[in-house]
Amino acid sequence: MMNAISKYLASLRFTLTLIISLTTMFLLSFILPQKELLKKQDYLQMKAGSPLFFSVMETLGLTEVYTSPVTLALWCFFFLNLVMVMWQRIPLVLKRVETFPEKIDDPRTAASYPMKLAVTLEDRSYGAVQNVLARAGYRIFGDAERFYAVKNRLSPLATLLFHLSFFLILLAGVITTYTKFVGYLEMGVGEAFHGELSRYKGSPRMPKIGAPPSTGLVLESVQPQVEQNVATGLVVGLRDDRGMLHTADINRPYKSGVTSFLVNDLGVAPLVVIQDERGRDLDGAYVKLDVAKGKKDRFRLYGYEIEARYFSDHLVVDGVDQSGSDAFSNPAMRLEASKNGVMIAASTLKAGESMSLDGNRLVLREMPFWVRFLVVKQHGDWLAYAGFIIATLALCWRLFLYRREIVGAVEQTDTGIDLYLACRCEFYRTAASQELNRINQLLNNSAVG
Amino acid sequence: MSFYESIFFWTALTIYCLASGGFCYAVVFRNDRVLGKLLAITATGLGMHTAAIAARYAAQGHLPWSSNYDNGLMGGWFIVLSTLYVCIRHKPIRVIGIATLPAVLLIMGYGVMRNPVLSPLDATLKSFWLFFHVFFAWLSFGAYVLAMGVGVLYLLREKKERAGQIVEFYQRFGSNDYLDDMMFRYLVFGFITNAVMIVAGAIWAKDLWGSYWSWDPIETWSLISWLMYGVAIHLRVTMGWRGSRFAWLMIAALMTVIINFFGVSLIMKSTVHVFRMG
Ligand code: HEM
Repeated sequence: MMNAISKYLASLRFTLTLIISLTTMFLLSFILPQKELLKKQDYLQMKAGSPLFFSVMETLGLTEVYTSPVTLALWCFFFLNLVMVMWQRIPLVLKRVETFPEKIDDPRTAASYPMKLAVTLEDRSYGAVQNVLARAGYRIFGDAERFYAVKNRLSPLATLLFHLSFFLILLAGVITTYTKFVGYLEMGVGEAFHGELSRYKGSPRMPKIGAPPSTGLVLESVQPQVEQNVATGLVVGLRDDRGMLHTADINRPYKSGVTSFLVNDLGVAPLVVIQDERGRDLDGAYVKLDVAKGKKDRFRLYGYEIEARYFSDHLVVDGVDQSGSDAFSNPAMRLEASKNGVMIAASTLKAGESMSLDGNRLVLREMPFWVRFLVVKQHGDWLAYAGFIIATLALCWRLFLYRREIVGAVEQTDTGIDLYLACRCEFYRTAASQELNRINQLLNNSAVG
Repeated sequence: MSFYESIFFWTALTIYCLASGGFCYAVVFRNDRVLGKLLAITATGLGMHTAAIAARYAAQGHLPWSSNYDNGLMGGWFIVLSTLYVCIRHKPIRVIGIATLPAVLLIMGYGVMRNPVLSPLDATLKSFWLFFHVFFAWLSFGAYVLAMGVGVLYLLREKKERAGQIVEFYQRFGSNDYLDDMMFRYLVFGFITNAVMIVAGAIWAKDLWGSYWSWDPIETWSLISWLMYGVAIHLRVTMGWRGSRFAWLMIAALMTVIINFFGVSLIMKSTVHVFRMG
């Protein structure tokens, strides 16, 4: 019984079952409601609609397919099966690439070499055949009476290399998961950051192993680029601890060691100042507002509650504020101030303009941007790259440079030789006849030469 | 679409329609004398198609690689180019256009009905890795379509053979082993370029989302189709699947790629990186 189980666990049939099962699990994520893809409210509403269905799905973890116990179990079996199969294969593959046939088949009758060629070559010797085969990339063993030639002898090693590279990728996945720090950091122009955890928005994901990033920087400039209403860039200037200037953009994070600062989002952080009637500053601050995509945001200053809306390309149509486009060509801000729940003033201001507030003034001094960075620190990237590169190279090696084998015999005649060749290639049946044609051509050319 | 682009695009599409009809004629009436002419017609279509891409490039300043239309335009171009390559290099199966050209019509037609507007390149798409990713996606898609095309030829001939008929036209496709090997060759090329595409996509995602893999719907689909082709390779190498079973597999596996190919719009919706302040 145990034997049968372990035999099945190490079988290629099980490999196929596992790959198909994993694929099926991934497909389920498109069919079954997934917590990650739905808003919490929508999910709860769906759940209330069919509680039994959801309780079964949740028990099996199928509402979070990628981390469900079923998927994790399948992954475990996948790697177990991989280890067991490769463990069996390693000695076989090594034997295959190291040793050469003790007994070389007769090319005239060899059944395992399906393609055969017999040619008479005038004025030629076995040496000429050896030369041609060597030029075609073959290593030759044996003698004129019976020889064996092989090209891409080591190719089967690539099967091991390709499949074992999965372990590198797995290892990279484990290391990055355990060392990963992720946090959102909002910085206004001119602001400095020295790695303080309190500066991150919400609670960052802390690494299970290692420390959070300690990189320090100052945000020097922010330059959003918009063409024909398409956001084409967000160029951010940063100065590091050593005073060096760097630029980052969407898709082009600022990297310091294993820490990356990904430019993630943009907002405005206007400098709002409250002045008394004689123009003295009473209070003021840069307020980071989340007013993207026409959203409203609120802040409090000097006892006033202020609601803000932003227009990047301000227009007034029928008395209503609007944005003519997504370009930052004419920025303006609609501010509505209230006190104790009673609205006291509202106006749309541009940088440098002001409005009166029951005896005081609100001045919108300037409207610089703030940027949200996604800060990611993780180790193990190089392992992932190594895994990717090895996997790709091994695939090319195995599937393009497949193994070709030839057995041959040479019979001396009065005027030259009779040559018998038989060939076989991995993966392709017709490749053997193409290979023999090529060699025949090379032999003919060598005669001409 | 720019003015010149639309002229070249519709001309190319019309030529491909004619060529598709011609390939159908060649197969239905088993007439391979027209194949040489069809090759010339298809090449003319490809010339127009290339001009349409050039006109689009001139009008928007970047290669078309962002919208459904762009994918149809470039993907179709790669498939027609691969078809011509096959017609020239592998003469026995030059009737492959019967399967590949309708696929081109389908994806270009679908694309043009979606969003052919000219637009600058979105910030999220400005990446060397994305270029690499998309280029290899087209290569692998072209190869998978060819594998499917050879599969169709194999099945067409096998159907006749099973009915006890030896049709000379079909015999010119080459031996069964030849067709079978060609399917595997295209599959292998597609599989490797597909792997490069996934890797380049993961590296791009790392700089855009901070993570190589986020189980984004597009990522998941591309993994599904790669795994399906991996299963196909296993079935052949370890279980000896060949012939008509393998041909059906090539046709079925292409479905996963088609779904993935046109799901690109999902990535645009799910990305959080496009800022819009107005
Ligand atoms: C548990 C997991 C796996 C096991 C045990 C396994 C095992 C094997 C074995 C033993 C071979 C060699 C067959 C031969 O030459 O006789 C093979 C070939 C192959 N496998 Fe896998 N495999 C696994 C997963 C995968 C996956 C996930 C892929 C990619 C989608 C893949 C792609 C390939 C390819 C392309 C070949 C043919 C080239 C070669 O021989 O290396 N395998 N596999």
